[in-house]
Amino acid sequence: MTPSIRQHMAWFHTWFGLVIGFLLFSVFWTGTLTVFDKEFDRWMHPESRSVQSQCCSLTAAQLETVLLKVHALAPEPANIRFHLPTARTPMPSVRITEHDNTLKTYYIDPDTGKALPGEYTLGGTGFFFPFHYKFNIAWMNVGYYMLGIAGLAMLTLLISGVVLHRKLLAEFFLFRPKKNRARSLLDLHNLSSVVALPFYITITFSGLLILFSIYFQWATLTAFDGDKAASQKAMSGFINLPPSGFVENDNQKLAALKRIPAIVQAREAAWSAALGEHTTADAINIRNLGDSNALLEIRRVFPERSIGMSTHTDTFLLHTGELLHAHEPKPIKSFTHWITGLHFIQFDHAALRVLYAIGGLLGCVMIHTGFLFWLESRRVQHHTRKLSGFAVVQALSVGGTLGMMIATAAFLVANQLIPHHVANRATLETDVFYSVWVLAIVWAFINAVTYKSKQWLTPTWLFTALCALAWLLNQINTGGMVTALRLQEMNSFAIDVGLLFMVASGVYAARKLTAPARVSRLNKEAFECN
Amino acid sequence: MTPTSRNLSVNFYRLLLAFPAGLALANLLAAALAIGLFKFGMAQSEAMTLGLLAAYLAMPAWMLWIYCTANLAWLGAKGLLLGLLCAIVIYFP
Repeated sequence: MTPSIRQHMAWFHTWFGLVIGFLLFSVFWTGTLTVFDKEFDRWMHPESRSVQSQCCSLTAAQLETVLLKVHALAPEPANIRFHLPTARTPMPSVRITEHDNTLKTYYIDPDTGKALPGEYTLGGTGFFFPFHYKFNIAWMNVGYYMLGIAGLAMLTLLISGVVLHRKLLAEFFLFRPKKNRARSLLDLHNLSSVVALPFYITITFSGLLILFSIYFQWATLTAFDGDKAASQKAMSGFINLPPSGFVENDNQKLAALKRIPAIVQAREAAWSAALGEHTTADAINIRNLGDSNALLEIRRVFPERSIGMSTHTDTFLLHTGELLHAHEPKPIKSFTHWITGLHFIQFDHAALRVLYAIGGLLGCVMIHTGFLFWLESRRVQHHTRKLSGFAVVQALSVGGTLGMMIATAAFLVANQLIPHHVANRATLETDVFYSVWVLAIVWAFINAVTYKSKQWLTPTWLFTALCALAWLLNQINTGGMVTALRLQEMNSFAIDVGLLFMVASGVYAARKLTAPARVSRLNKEAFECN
Repeated sequence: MTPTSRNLSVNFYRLLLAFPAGLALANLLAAALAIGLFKFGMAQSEAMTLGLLAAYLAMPAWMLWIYCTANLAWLGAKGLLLGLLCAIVIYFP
């Protein structure tokens, strides 16, 4: 007999979810952390917390001060990405890519011109964010493709889940914690899936859409007759000129840089007039600074008061100030910018950001309870038949989910403990993250194959203790929440609150794990198997 | 035969096939739609974006379709036909 569509979907949902769930958990977990990436930056790099008297805008004189500092920092021809200050990143940041592809990041004080090296830590934007979209694997775009598989799998798992659960609406209201464990876990899995289903669909689809240039490279090139430059110009307003080879002298370079504030002001005035509201640029890119073909790109990537992103991109020849291209996306492109803006959540709305984080955590719960249900529903059967698959899945569940959370907490503790003067301290922090993660997986495997108990309890306590330690160290090192409140520095304050929330959740979960279980006969057998 | 008793390797083989085949077909569809719409007078960037949106929406459905189709030969024939149609739109002058 041919299996029905629902039977197909059940198999697909169970087994594919199991295989890809670990990847999905890391995407959801780091995605949730990335919602507060800039807040993590401030928390992990206290010196970058300095708050300007006038937040989120630079005067022409301040912009010139910053640009002159850039000139001093990049004496050779280089590409420069310059992000203007926002409420979440109060200091302007500059990324300089030198000729040998070395990337250097600085925060620059616009009043004094003092540069603060960004190598202190990768922080949220340098570690959690790239982990979220490419698992920090740059080689041959492997990380992007892994994410593509995970994203596509998530969409198909959502579809198969909806097909599988006929009583979708009823399951929204169904949670029976006093039933047997497998039943309760399935209820929780269904509940966490249904309650945020629109969020999961939106966030997964928009995430895939952002990376179209990787997954649909062939289609884009083919549609533009193989002309990459034409496709980039039409799709994102990006234009480039090859370096002329004529290197400007210092005076010419300085004169070109000093011209930028006036150009920026003129473009902001033009955008404001066209839109009928005050509009500012938030990013300035300079390509091939020092070459006579240097280009200046003025962008409005993340408007504070709207979801749609990348509304304006104007490109100038820096040497003459000639406008080469003013890119304004057309309706369908604007629609996709709106969808991708939903994913990037850079608009100014703290409450909505918290809702995103809750959605992300619900996603983690959904994936985690999926694993737990698989384990609980097979515990006795696998134990009786002496199957090794159970131990492997259990170990991967512990290491892949709780292990990653422990590694994150250890990363934050390392950030607080590694002294400022240590060379490559940013690398050391990430080494701690990966080492702890690997150790957690190894520990979970050893425990699983030796049938030790407390598979979940010990990691839960460890995660809770590390979160508490990270919070405590921040209070000691920087004055923590009291100082943050006094200085109205809400970015690092938010991370401290988040850490306390994690500590409270960890204590609650650990207490539940140690509480005497209400067990049925079947569950008694299950406990004995563990 | 129930799905749980089906040969695991066959199912994983289908899944392995579903990803690259789904992506390849989606690329073909996106390019064909973009070129077709452009020929009908839509701006090139708009046509490409619409093609991408359609392809993205089609991909998960495609994957599940590949996975659920019992007869791989029949599936291959349908995929080939669709690919051929897209290729005609793309490469026909």
